[in-house]
Amino acid sequence: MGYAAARGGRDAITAAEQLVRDERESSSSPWLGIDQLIDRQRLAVDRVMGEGGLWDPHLAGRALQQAEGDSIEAAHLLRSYRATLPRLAYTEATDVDDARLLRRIVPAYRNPPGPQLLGRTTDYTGRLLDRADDDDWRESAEKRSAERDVLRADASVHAGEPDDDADDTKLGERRFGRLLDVLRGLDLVVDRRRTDDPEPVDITRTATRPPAARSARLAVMARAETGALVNLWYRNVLGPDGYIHEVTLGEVRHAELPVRITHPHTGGTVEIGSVRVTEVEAIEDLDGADEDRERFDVGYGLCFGHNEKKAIAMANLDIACERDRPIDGRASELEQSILMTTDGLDASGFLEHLKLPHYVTFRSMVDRKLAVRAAAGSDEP
Amino acid sequence: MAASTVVEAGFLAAARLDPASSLSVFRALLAAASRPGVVTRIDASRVAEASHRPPAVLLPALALLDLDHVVAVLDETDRDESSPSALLSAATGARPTDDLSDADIVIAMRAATADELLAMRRGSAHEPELGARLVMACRAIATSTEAGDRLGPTWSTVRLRGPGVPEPGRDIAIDGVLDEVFSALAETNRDFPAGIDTWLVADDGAVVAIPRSSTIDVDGGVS
Repeated sequence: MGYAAARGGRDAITAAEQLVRDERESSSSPWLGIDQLIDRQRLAVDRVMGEGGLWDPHLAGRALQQAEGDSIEAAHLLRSYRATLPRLAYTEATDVDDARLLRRIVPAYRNPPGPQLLGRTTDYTGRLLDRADDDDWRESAEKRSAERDVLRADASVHAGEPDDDADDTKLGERRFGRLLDVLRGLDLVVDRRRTDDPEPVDITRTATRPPAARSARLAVMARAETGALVNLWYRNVLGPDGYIHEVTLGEVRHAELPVRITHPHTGGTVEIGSVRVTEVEAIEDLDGADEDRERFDVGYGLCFGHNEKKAIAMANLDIACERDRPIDGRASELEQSILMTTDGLDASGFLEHLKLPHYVTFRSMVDRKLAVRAAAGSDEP
Repeated sequence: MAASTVVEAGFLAAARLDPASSLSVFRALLAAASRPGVVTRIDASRVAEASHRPPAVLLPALALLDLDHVVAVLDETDRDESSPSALLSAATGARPTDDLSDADIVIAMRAATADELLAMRRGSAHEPELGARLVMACRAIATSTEAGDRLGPTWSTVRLRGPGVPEPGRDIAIDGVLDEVFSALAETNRDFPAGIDTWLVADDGAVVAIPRSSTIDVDGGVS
C-alpha cells in the first residue's frame, strides 16, 4: 500500500488479529457449522458466491464464518481464493432453457407459455417479525421436518408406481417457452442481435473500461455488490438522473443450470455439475423520439444463486444502459457508473484502506497548508 | 504441435504438481522477487523420483501455468514428446508458441540473447501486467562472498539495487549467463513499470530474482 510508510506495530497487529479470532470462536454458544450457514443462511451464502465470482457453497459458508457475516468481506475472501485456482477447462455455452426450474414467475402476463411456479418466496407475505418463543419455534420446525421426512420416505417407497402428480413433480425439468417468444411472435420486440461481441469478455483477465461490450457489462453486474446495483437502479429510476422507466418483468427464474465442458480426450460434451442461478428478463417500453415506439426492448440479468433483487436490478440497468447509449459510441454516465463503481471489492477495498496509516501523505498536506500560509503572509504589504 | 504429442506417463505425472508443491514453488518465487538478489530454493526432489524429475527451470512454469497462458521455450531443438514445451502443455494446458511477443512466460533453457529479451512482451506504463515472466536456467548462483576467488570466466557478477534491496545494493554471481545478457536485461527494463520479471534458476534449484523494478549494474559489485 503506497500510502503506508510506517514501520513497526507488528505485535499490535498480530494481537488485533488474534482478538478477532478469539472473540469469533470462543463464544459460549454452540459452534456455527458451515452446513448450518448453507442450510439456514442460504441467501447470504448465495450472495457471497455471486459477488465472489466462485460457485462453492462450502467455501462461501466458510468465508461468511471467517468474516463474521460481513458479506462484502466474505466475497473478498472468496475472490482472493479464486485467484489462486488454476483454470482447468472452459465451459460450453449453455442454453438457459436447459435449466431445471425451481421457481418461475411472469409478472407481465397471467397465462404465459409454461407455469407460474411460485417456488420458495415471501413475495406475498407480510413482513412481520416472527416473535414466537424460540423453543416453540424450534419444536414446531422439528415437527414439520419430521413430517416431511415421512412424506419423502413414503414417496420413495412408491417410487416407480404410476403417479397422478407426475406432471407436477417433474414440472421443473421440462422446457417451457418464454413470454419473449410470444412477444417475438407478435413482432412486438426490437431485434437487437449483434455480431461484434461473439465471445464473452473475461472481466477477470481484461480490465473493463467504458465503453465496453455488452458481455463485459453483464459480467460486471453479475459480480457486482447487490446493494450497489439496487441503489444504482433506484437512482436511475427515481433519483436525480431523472428517468422514469416503464419496466415490466417478463421472466423471473431461479433454476439449476447445468455446467458442461468438452471432454479433453473424447471431444464430447460432458455435464460436470450444476450451478443455481437467478435469471430475469425485463421488458421495457420504448417511448423515446428516436426509438421504435411500436415495439418493446428487453434487458437481461443473470447471477449466481438465488438473488432476485440483484438479477432484477441487473436486467433493468442492462436495458437502461442500452437506451442511454450516446449516438457517437462513447460511454454514458450510467455505463461508467456500472463498470467503475458497483464492484464491492473495489469500493470497500478503497474505503477500508483509508484506515491504514496515512502519516506521510497527511504530513505533506499539512506542509502544503503551512507553505500556502507562509506564502500568503510574505505577500502582505 | 506439442499439444497433440503424447508425453510419457511417468514424466507427465511428475510434472502435474499437486497444490502443495505448486504453493511451495510460488512462495519461493515470491520470496525471491521480494528480495532481489537473495537466493531462495525450489525443491524438485519433493516432486518426483529422480528418474522422472522435471528440470528445476521448468518448475515455476509447472506451478504457475494453466490453460489461460501462452508459453515459449528457448533452445528447444526438437519439439517432440519429451520436449519441455510438450511437457508444459500436457501438464498445465498452456499453449506453446515460438513467438516471443505472444508469450506470457518464457522458459530459457539457456541464457537468452539480447534480441530475444527485446522481443519479449514488456507491457506498458498503462498495462504493466502484460509484461512477460522470464525463467532462465543457469549453472549455479552464488552471493559474491560465497563466490570469492573461485569465479571463473563463465561467471558474471551483477549488483542489484531498488525496491527490496538495502543500499548500497546486493551482489550476485551467476555461472552460465554472460554479462551482456544482464546488460540487455537492464536495457529491456529501462521503462519501468513496463518490463519483464526474471528468475534465474540453477540446476540445483537455487533461485534468484531480478524483477523489473531492480536496477542492474553489470560487474559493479564484486571487488
